[in-house]
Amino acid sequence: MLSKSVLAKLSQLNRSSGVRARKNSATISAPASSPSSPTPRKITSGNSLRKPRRPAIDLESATVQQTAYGEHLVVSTPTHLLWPDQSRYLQAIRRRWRAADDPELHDDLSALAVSFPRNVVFLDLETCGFAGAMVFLIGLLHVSDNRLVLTQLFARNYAEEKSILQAMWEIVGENDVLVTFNGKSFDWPMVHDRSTLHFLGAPIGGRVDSTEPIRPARLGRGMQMTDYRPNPLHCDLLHHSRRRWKHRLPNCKLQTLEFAVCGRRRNGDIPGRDIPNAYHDYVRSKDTTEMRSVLHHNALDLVTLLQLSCCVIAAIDESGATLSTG
Amino acid sequence: MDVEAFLQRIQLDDEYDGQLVHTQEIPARAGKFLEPQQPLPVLLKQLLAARGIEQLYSHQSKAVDAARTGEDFVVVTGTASGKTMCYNLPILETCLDNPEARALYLFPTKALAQDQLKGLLELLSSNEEVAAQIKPGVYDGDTPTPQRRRIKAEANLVLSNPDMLHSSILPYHPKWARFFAELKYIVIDEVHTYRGILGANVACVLRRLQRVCEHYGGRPQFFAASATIANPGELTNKLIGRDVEVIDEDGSPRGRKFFAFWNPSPAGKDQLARKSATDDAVWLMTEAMKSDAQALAFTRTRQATELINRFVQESLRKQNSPLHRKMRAYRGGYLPIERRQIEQDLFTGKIRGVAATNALELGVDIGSLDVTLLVHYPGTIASAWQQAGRSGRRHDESLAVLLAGNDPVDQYMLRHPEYFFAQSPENAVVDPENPYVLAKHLKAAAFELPLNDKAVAEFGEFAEPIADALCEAEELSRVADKIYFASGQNPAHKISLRHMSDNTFSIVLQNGNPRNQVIANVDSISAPELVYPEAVYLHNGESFFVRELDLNGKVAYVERHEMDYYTQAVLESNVRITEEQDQRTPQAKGSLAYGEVDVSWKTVAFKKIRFDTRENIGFGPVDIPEQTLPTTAFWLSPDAEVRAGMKEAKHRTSEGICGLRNLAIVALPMIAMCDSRDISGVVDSKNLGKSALILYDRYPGGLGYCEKGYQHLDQLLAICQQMAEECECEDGCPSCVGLPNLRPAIHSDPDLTRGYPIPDKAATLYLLKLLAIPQLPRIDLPTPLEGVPAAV
Repeated sequence: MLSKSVLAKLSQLNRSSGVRARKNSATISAPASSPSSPTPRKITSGNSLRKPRRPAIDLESATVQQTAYGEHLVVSTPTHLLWPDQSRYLQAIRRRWRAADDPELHDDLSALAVSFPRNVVFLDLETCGFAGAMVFLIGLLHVSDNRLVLTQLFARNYAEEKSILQAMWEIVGENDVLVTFNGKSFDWPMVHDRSTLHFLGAPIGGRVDSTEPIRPARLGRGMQMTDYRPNPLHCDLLHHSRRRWKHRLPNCKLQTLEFAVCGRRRNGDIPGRDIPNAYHDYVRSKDTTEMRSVLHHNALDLVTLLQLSCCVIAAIDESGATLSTG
Repeated sequence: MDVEAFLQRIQLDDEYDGQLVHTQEIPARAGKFLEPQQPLPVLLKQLLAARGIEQLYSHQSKAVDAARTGEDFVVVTGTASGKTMCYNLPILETCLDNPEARALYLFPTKALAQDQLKGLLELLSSNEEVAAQIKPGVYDGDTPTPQRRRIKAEANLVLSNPDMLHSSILPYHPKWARFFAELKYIVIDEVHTYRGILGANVACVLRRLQRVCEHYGGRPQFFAASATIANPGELTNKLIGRDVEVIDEDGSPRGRKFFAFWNPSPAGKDQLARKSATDDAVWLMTEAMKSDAQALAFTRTRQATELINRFVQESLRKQNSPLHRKMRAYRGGYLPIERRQIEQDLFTGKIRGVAATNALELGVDIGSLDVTLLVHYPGTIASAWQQAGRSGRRHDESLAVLLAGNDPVDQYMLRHPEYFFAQSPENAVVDPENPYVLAKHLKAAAFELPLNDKAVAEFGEFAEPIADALCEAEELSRVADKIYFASGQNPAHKISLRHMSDNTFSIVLQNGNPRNQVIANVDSISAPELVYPEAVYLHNGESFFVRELDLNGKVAYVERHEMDYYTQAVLESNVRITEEQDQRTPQAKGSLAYGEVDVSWKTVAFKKIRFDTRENIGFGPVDIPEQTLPTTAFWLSPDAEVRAGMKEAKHRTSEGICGLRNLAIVALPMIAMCDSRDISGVVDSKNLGKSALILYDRYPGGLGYCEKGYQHLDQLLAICQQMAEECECEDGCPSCVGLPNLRPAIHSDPDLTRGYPIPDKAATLYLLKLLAIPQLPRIDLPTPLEGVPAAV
């Protein structure tokens, strides 16, 4: 049996380790505009996101999805509800289409331009921390039934991670191009690592749990784990944004771009560093308040990613200024 | 070399003054060769032949046989007996047959991994095809990032250390999935170093490792190698949680060896102190080198290493011997590249003499030397044999000399050589179920993979209640039938496997060429003792003046100046009780409490000592902040009645407690399953206003060792009493009241520090009697080897 003092020590350990999750902590303020950064266009109601007052996305409206490895929640939201400007941007893109062989476009960008939007999937993860931690929310923005939708795959607890990963592979497998922000360093290796842990898609030591969907790029010795899984062309917008905007902006963080390029400001957003503990709290308490913020945060990231892609491939410059003249 | 002739010549020298008090001859042993039950594959035989190995020693063949039948083993044979072949042969046999097979080698230090890499590459180099197929690689904190990816994917043999496995491999196991799936063998070299705190942590890391392997479908075999300790099989069994075969019959040949005991002569007629062991070591070293022998002097401190090196060089230079260029110093803190060079020059014989700390005690292959000098008793029987084992040719004669210091334990050994030769090496104690250690590793394990009941059970019987407590504390979380990690970041980063942090300071030379180059490192604990402002830092015979110590930037700035003095730090240490958490009344007549203490130490001043005369030529103040270890402790203070009784019998209470402290440090490990090095204690009257024994854990936050002593105080005292009573010595010896456990100031010249007297055994026995400990059943104390008398 464990002695009293050991239990006391354990709670003492608990007291001393890390800061527990904060409830609804400070909002992230927009970066101070420096002389070198462009002044954001005045935000009109039409250009801002719908206020979460009547949230378009919520766990209450989620449906339960069944996969071979259990269940998880799916929140599906047509993106035009999130981003009323969407149609204007998409039309602008059509008008100002860059030729796919435009020498200024990188290979992955021209592939994106060719496939956009039908065969493109935008991805953003919410996790319990850095490498090695668990993935609990996978946001995917893609075309479904002829319209752009945001599909958020949500694990209600730690045991549902495998199920959301499997559902993710099914969607990713239907597309040719994957768009992320810093996904080459973070999201995509994370997806592969967690899938490896769950034996999804790649045989390890003779074991593989899912045979679907597999589109091996090549076979034989020296095959990488990633070769067994859908292998879309990966376009990491962080790198393109740096190339394009780093001289004009203090940094190329997604929220800086959102403010300076997309001309939107976030209010009441949950800071990224609070997300892991917010999730742990949710799993324990089942209180969905903070998860609503997390879903919203994830949705904003993806909408911004979509908008940035439009800007990059259609040579629309910051603040959508080109749009109004076009 | 002809040892007898050498010793004779020394005894005829004018300087000789009867210092040689005992010489023990250890007869030569013929080699015992044996073929494995099934011959080795031809390709492997060719590799061995290219290295000049035509036959295997019996222990090597037995290891091959055991490995082939799927058994785990630990091999315990002498230094330079070809231990590494015991695990390399079966591993290479498998890798030649199956290029996908993987092996993980764990060494306690980075230096050993580098040394083994060199050895493996040499072995494989004779056949290009094999060299292309079997790729070894070192994966540790020094491995550059681009190489890491390649090693993960391609290396068949990954050489690493437990700390790296714990913090940088296991938490990211999916990146190593293929590796773990194909992992066939895990080598644990120098397994005897994994005892006490480090051992408890490593045991948990190895359980985590086995769990990850199992997840990916691997079930590796374990091959361990150990220096001579009393219980290698038990230790390995506890570390890996499986029974192992012990292979301890050494089949390698050994030349005749002499073990001499040397007592430096008294310094003068009216002085009790003796001349310095360092001076005599310098003389013996010089003579040995001049007789064409290769010699190694082991010292207890880094400063002594530097001094012996310097004095030997000087002495040889004065005698116009070109050998002075072939003398070196070797210790922790030298840059890896410098250390590798010295190791290699020792191996090839380019260096004829070296002064070293115990950094050379572990198995870095430097070949076998002719003479080893143990300058001061190294503290344990196992260490003494390990160091002495560095000399010992396969066919030629060799010599080891123990040069005693002023320390009473050294003097005791010299008075009783039979005690030394009869004593069995120490037991290595490890407790894989220490709840404090387990709690930390259960979190790390849950982070890696969710725990089910079976997994929890594999961590021992304490694991379940601890997991429950962690769930209650919301650090872990139970979902359905599994336990998941549920709070904060990767927990492995907050767990240190060793006593202290491995932060290091850089020592930067300002006036060299190029300017501002790093010439050495020092761990952060030692930095304030070695490179305080105005200190003279010694490095390979040269002196450097310390200009500045930047505690925040972790840099010491030094300038090259040839000084005629060196400096010695004056340390002040203190134990302060910060919080009493619990108290109880033991049956013994004393007051007892448990709680938190701050153990602190700092350098307050330094002395300047002239190199040539050892004169103290001045003092200087040092103003740097103290270092603190917050930990847990118990304190025991004898009742007034007991103190009065001591006074009446003309014993000093504090002396009695001092002996009790020394006994308790040996006795507590039997109750708390730790190593003596994991605990320490002081006799103190400042905290309570009366003499008290304070015993504390040497780990930040404590690990429950002294807590166990608190809970079982009466039993602890009973063991102390039994040890003192059963010891056959008259006034106290290292087996009872006299064992030293005081942390040596590892940077000072031990010849200048006063030894601690062995406390009066009678005082301790009388104190124990007055404390009136209840009669408890006697326990089996570790006994000396059969047929040899115990301490006389």
